Amino acid sequence: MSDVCLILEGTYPYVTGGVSACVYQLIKNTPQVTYDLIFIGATKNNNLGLKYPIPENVKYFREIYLYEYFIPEGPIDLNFEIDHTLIADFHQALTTHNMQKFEELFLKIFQNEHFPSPEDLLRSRQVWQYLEQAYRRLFPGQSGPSFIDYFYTWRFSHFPIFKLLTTEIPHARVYHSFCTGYAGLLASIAKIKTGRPYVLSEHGIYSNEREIEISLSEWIYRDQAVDIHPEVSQYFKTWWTRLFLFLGKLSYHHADVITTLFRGNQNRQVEHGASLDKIQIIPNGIELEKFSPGAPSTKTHSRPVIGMVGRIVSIKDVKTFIKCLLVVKQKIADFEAYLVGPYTEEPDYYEECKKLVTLLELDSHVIFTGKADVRDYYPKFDVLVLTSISEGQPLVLLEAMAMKIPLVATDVGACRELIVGRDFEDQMIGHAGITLPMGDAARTGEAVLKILSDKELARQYGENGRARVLKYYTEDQNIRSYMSLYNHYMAI
Amino acid sequence: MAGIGFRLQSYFSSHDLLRNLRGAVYSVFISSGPWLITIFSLAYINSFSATYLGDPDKYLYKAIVSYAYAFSLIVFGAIEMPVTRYLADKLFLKDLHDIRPLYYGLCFCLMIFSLLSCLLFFSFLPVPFFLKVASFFFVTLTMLIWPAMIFLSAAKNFQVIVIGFIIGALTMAFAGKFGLLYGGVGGLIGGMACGQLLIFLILSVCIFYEYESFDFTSFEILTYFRRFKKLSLGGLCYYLGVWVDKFIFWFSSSGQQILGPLYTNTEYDTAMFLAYLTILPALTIFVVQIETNFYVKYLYYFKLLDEKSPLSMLDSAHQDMMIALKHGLNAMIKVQSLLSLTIWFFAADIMLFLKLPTIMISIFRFGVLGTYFQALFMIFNIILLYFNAQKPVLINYAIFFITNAGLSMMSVYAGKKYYALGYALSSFITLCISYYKLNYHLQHTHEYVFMGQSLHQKHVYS
Repeated sequence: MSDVCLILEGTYPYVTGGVSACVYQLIKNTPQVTYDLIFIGATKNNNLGLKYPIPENVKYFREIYLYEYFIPEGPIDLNFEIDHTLIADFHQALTTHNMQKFEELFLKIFQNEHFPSPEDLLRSRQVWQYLEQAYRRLFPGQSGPSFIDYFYTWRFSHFPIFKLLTTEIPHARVYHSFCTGYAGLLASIAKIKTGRPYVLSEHGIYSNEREIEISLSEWIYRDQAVDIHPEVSQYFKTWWTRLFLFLGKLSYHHADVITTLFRGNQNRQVEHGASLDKIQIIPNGIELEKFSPGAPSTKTHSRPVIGMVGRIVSIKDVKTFIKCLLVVKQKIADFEAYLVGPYTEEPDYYEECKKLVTLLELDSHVIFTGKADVRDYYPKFDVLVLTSISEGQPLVLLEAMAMKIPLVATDVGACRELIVGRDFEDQMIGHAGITLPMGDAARTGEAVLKILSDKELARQYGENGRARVLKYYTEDQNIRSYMSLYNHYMAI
Repeated sequence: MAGIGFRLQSYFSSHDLLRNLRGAVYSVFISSGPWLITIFSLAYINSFSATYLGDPDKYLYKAIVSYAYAFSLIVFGAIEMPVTRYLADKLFLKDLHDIRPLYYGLCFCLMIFSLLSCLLFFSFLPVPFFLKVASFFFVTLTMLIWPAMIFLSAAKNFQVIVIGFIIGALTMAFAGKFGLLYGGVGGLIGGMACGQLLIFLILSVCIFYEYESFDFTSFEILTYFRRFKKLSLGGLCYYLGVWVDKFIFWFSSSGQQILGPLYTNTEYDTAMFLAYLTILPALTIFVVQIETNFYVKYLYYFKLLDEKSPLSMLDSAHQDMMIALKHGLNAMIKVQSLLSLTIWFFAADIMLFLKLPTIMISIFRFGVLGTYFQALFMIFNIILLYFNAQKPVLINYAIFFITNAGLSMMSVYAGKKYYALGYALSSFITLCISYYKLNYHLQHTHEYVFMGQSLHQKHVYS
């Protein structure tokens, strides 16, 4: 039996990103802990090889692909009696957030040794009869949502869940998932089955992210013709949204402790059904050896340098950054601006940004580096700007703070907490830069000018930033926080 | 045969009597035209062969022709439905670039298969070499014409089939007569093979023009045989079932050995042949009713489904489809019952009129009932196939084959009075089971439409 079973959905070791980096860092820096890994993905062919190494203390690695199946032709008769009233009760309980019913359903039906495979269940006559009756009960009149979509939405929304509910889970002292959703579901049933504690760490708010995805998605059928009846036209979008909300609530219900990166997320989790007393904040931590400022006089030139680090994508609102440079240019004729980050994700947006640079006659100032090692650029920067319209707890800010670079950032996600401080003790350290509302190029430009023109202020911001990172945001602290959770729950 | 429905509908929708009549004739032609034409030309050949050939040669000729049709139809049974499915799918996708090579390839394989079978079979048959060659060509061409018909039917080119058969049948009759006068049985079979060759060539040329080709050979058809092995097996069972009672009567104590492995049973064959003629109206009415009324409703149901309709609309479309089906079957059953019963009642007079031995009367009577049941169960199973119910169809046809074999064997031992009773009973049993299955299937149409097909990962939205 391993110490910790990590349940990972669409992240380490196959996908890069903040969570993946955090998971890798955690495993690598806790060699004394043995891990089981369960990776949950959509289909196997989406994986393009390992993006991170798998350290030696990982004892078991399993991949589950939710959308890999072959459902043979039906209908067949199951020799398993499905308790329809229990399912009806369960759906009733869903709307009232009664999580107890799920446990009952799971233990009574899915834990039954005669329970069929998910494939057989999906093609069974019993399920068809249940679906047809349910549809007729819900839409007794002439109008109703597309029946073919009703049928396939049911299949595609329930199959992954049935698959997980019938999955064997390795025994471990602690189950730890890095999001709610499917990973959270698997961790929850692991807890129901084994009684071992469940630690949930959420960086972004899963149900929120899915909700945005679903509302923007093209593939979920929406009947334009009957938009006046949103309960029919939006039926399938509502279905999916409710499903992910439910999975979120289920995880919050079963988790013994919920960790998140910063305060703002904590409030969103409470909104989505988490109880406040379970939530702990474990912020990101950065490796200090990698991000240490050199001697103060490493800069050989006198041209001020403005930096922006991040992918060139619309969510980072790169255009506001470019526009703010025009404000800077009116006061400072000679400066450089670096945009460090890959631009292949949204090629159209990148083209628009380049056009904007030309239009504003900033070509001689602006440099797009493309994908690059940020550590080559931090020492050059006099100020770092982040204009994102949405963020979690951006590592860029933490890295820049460790490098003593003063910050200008929009007030989104954890940016204010990082720059101003999250509580009284933290705030005593002082500001690490300036926060401002999103999309305001003029104020961004003024803030940059303020830092560039006041050397003492800039130095102070830089010192404060580094002090804050040292106090709260080091990798050691991050690992220690997780370790103390592990130690606590492993011992139960 | 789907696409002819709309044209038939236009014939029948007007109140013009002449137009309706033309519709009826057209239906007869496309439903049973090739079959009728072949029967008439064979009847003509029979009549003159009787005057020119001695008894042994006459039986030899008849046995070769019977064996050729039995063998070619059974082989065809195994390939018919998968190939039809393949053509229908390709036509639906308008992806026709490998149809021509498929046709050539299929013909080539059938020829090789026929050659090997004939080599084996003829090694047991002590007849002149020329007759063997002529028989080989006759069997092979007969076997090639069946698939040619499905390739043209898929393209809705029914006129060509009928015209090809008329020209070919006329040639068969006259070339046969000419051959008979100069070369005896071998000449007769050779002449008939010429007629078959003409049909095959006409159909092949039309297939060549019907399907454009980019000379692209794919072996995708093989996946269809894997995917639809139930259909392939079902077709095989059906044609085995159709012939197994004849085989039993040929090889039983009541049959006569003609030469080597060639056997016949004149009384049984002739009576059954006449009995099969009586179901012509059923088949014609089926084509008209199903292809016009039912098929339109059937398409509408699937169109609604595709257009994301609510269940209530699918329900009413399903109901319309059932009403059309009921009307069609009622009309057919009314006419055919009346006809079959009348013929059954006057069987003795008909036999007398045709100057056939009285021993045939009871065989003919059971044959009339049996073919009536067979026509019905075949139609029920075709409807089942509209709903992709492959497994029930396979089971039904397998039941037909097994019960027909068993009961026919018993009726041989029961004595002359009970000949063909086995076949009639077998058809009746199959009819009852097919009816039960069809009824169940139609009551659960939605369920079978949605759950009846396997689902792979690639269907996932992503």
